Amino acid sequence: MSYVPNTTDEQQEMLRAVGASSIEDLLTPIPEAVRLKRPLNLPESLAEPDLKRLMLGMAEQNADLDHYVSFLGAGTYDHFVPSVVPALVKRSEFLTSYTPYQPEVSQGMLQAIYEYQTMVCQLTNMDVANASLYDGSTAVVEGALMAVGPSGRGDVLVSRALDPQYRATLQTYATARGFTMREIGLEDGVTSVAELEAAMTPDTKAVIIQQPNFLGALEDVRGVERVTHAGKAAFIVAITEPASLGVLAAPGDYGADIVAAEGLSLGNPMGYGGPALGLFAARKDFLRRLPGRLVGKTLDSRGQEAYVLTLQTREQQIRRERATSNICTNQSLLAVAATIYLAAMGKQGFRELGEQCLQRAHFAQERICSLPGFEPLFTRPFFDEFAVRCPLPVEQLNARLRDQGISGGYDLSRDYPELGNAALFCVTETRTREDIEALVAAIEEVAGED
Amino acid sequence: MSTEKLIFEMGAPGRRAALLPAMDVPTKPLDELVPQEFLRAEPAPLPEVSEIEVVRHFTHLSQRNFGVDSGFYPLGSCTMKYNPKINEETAGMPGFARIHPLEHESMTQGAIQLLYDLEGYLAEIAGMERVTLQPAAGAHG
Amino acid sequence: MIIKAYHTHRGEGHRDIVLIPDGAHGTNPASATLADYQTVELKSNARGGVDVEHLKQVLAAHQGKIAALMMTNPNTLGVFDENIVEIAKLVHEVGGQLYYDGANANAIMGITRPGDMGFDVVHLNLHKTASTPHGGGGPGAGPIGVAKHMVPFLPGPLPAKGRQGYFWEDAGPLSIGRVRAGAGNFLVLVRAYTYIRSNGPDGLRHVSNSAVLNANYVMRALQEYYDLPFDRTCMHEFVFSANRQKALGVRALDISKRLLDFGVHPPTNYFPLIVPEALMIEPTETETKETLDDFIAIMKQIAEEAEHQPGLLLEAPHVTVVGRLDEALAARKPNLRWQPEPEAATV
Repeated sequence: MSYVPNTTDEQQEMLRAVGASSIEDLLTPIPEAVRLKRPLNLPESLAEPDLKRLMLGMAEQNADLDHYVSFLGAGTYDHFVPSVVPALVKRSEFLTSYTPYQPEVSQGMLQAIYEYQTMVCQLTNMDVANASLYDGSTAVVEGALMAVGPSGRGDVLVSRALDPQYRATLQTYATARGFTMREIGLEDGVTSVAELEAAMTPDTKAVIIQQPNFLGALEDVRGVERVTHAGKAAFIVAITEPASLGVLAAPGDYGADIVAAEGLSLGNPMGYGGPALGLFAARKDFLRRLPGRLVGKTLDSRGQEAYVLTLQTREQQIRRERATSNICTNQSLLAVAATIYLAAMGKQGFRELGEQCLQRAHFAQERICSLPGFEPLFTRPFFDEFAVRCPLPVEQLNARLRDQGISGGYDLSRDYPELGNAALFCVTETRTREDIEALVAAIEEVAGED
Repeated sequence: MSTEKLIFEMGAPGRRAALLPAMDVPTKPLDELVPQEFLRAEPAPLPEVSEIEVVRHFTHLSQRNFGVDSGFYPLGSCTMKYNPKINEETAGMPGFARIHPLEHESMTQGAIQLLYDLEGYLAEIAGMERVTLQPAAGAHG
Repeated sequence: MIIKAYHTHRGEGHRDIVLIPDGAHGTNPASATLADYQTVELKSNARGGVDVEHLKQVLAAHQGKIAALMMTNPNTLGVFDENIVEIAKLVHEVGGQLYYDGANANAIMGITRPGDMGFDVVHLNLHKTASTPHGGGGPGAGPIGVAKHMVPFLPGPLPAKGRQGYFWEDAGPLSIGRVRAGAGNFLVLVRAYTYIRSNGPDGLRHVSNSAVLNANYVMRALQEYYDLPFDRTCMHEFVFSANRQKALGVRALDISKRLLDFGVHPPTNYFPLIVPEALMIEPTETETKETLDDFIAIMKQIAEEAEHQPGLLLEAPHVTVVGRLDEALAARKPNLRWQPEPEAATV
């Protein structure tokens, strides 16, 4: 099925109208030398029923969260999505539109994004937010690029407890762009403020930490802020678990200059990690340097309030060579889903979400750490993820848990070998007491056999 | 129809559109679990609206938007072709939509197979040796 | 960035110039800047392709410095550059690489392939070719394909197949590293996979044939009414200039706004920069002949209106929920978020 509506006869008629005898006549600009002289080597086409069966077969080979109990977080979080969210975001006027270059016929998307920008400011207590970026990791990169400025040079200090994938992404861009990235070590699971202070130089343009950090621990954000601003660098806060903003202090409350967050879990399907949603917010001093798109409110020719893309310093039509970012697509549809989600959760619901995650995670931590040989890795407070020292290699434990339909904690030895046998468990509002008890019983059984 | 209020201008204190699961684990006061200095003083001032208000508002917004399904969209260089509905259905299958990116390979065989096969298809279409599916859009080349 | 890693590995990290045709997409220079490259613009010839003589001069002027030529074929004017084989040869001879950026394969599937034209790196836009929804400007997916000599530099991890089944293979030591967290825009890729399996090889070829036919059909029917700067067979899209209408006091933008009154989304106006008052039209293969005929009739009517009732266009749109917007006001007094009264003010 190629979804081409016109029949062969109609196409013949159209060919006659353009003065061609066959499609081949229209392809003459393509030199013989570069022609593909055979059909593409791809599987033959499938009708919808066969295609659906094929796809379902592949889908069923994956452990989806509707059928398996998972305690994996580590940057991607399972939160309940109210039915109104998919029902509304799938409306095809949203789904099948493009970037709102024609605001007169894009007011729906533009207003939704304006509401989204407002909600991102409300969650983070920052002054301004953009219309979204690809994902949390590229949002961190954009934050660093903004802090480093047009020269592209300088020094960026990054906590070792920033998501390892984010650090790797940032390193790739640092190499390409020419700024240096140095890692700041950890103490009891959080960024060492003393080490940070010692590492600051006059060339330091930004300090990047994550809250809660990748190991689940809550950073000494006020200590980091003091040292960062004393050194006149930008304080960038990364957030991978936005539900934490339901109960934890917002970055704007502790002096962040830039917030870069992953918003996938705000009403969007987890989808093996993507497409994701990069939230980006900043203090108003950065207003005219924000990356990506912005929606602003204005008036139309009839004097009505209306919405439009504005301050597009990075767009195609402007300052080609001076652009510092190549971001011109955003994640509008995911941003709309996040807006609907946050509206549905509301002021009260979003706070309760944070409370539930926090309570359930603390209950689970207490239960797991009551097992012999299992203990908290750090003393720091946490939100809905916590690191546990295990008496056996985590992969060995997890392999046995998988047999029982449970995805255990993330194996931290992959990224932090210095931590030994350590697992990072995530417990959100979607994990019931029964799930937690099943996990504890399964761990006890496996550990007891050793 | 000429304007649609902002969601923040709707609703009333105490209204809501979603309930959390019943709390089935023992709870403690929050500040016993996390020191006060880490906690938020005030909840984020998100809207307080009912489900019907959410539905009407975003339905109205969608009606103020134009997509390929609404009409002809000959926007050069953007290829606004029809998007087959089955694509949405397959992407919505729980086995694709509800899987964790760090899930063990043995538990995501279908997903990796799909990506492996797709890489091959795209390499064949483009006449390239290999294809990375990682970049989001824009140019990482 | 892959190209940069390739050159650096060969001890040629000093190559810092990327050539970009003057009709290219505006994000290309930004991408090059991101990889810390200088850009040099290439002129177009009278047929809308790269001016080969100018290319030779530029290559000679920057000997040993050329990292790559970034272009697409068909290009942004919707025309296929017949000199592609010679262009590729010239760039390769001086050690440069050919990068196919922001590619839309909609016109060429099963007909020709970037690899066969001599491209070394290809960036494919799946949300364009493989019919994944644009969702108001996102999410898309942009896989990058590379020729054999570039494989070691690809970002990782990559999916692989072994005796135990499928697995993720970590990138090798020469890889540029990670370009984002996660495994890509997976759900977009599921849609692309579904689309390719639905079409099959014959279907994809039919898609490209039909996209080319639809574009030529509309172009030929309207070329009496609008200036066609490059009068030749087009591929999946073409560019008119509203120069003739401009003389009557009507801009391309006014034509676009008037189209809104007829329930048609306008063509692209701001681009390509080398065509003044551009109307870049891409009908795509999924439209019926009736829809194309309606569009042709509307465009003819608008051309008439431009002559006899220009006010209709200048004040358009008339039937949309809002009229033209004051974009200057939005930029001068940015209001980017709602705030409760009474503190409501601009941020």
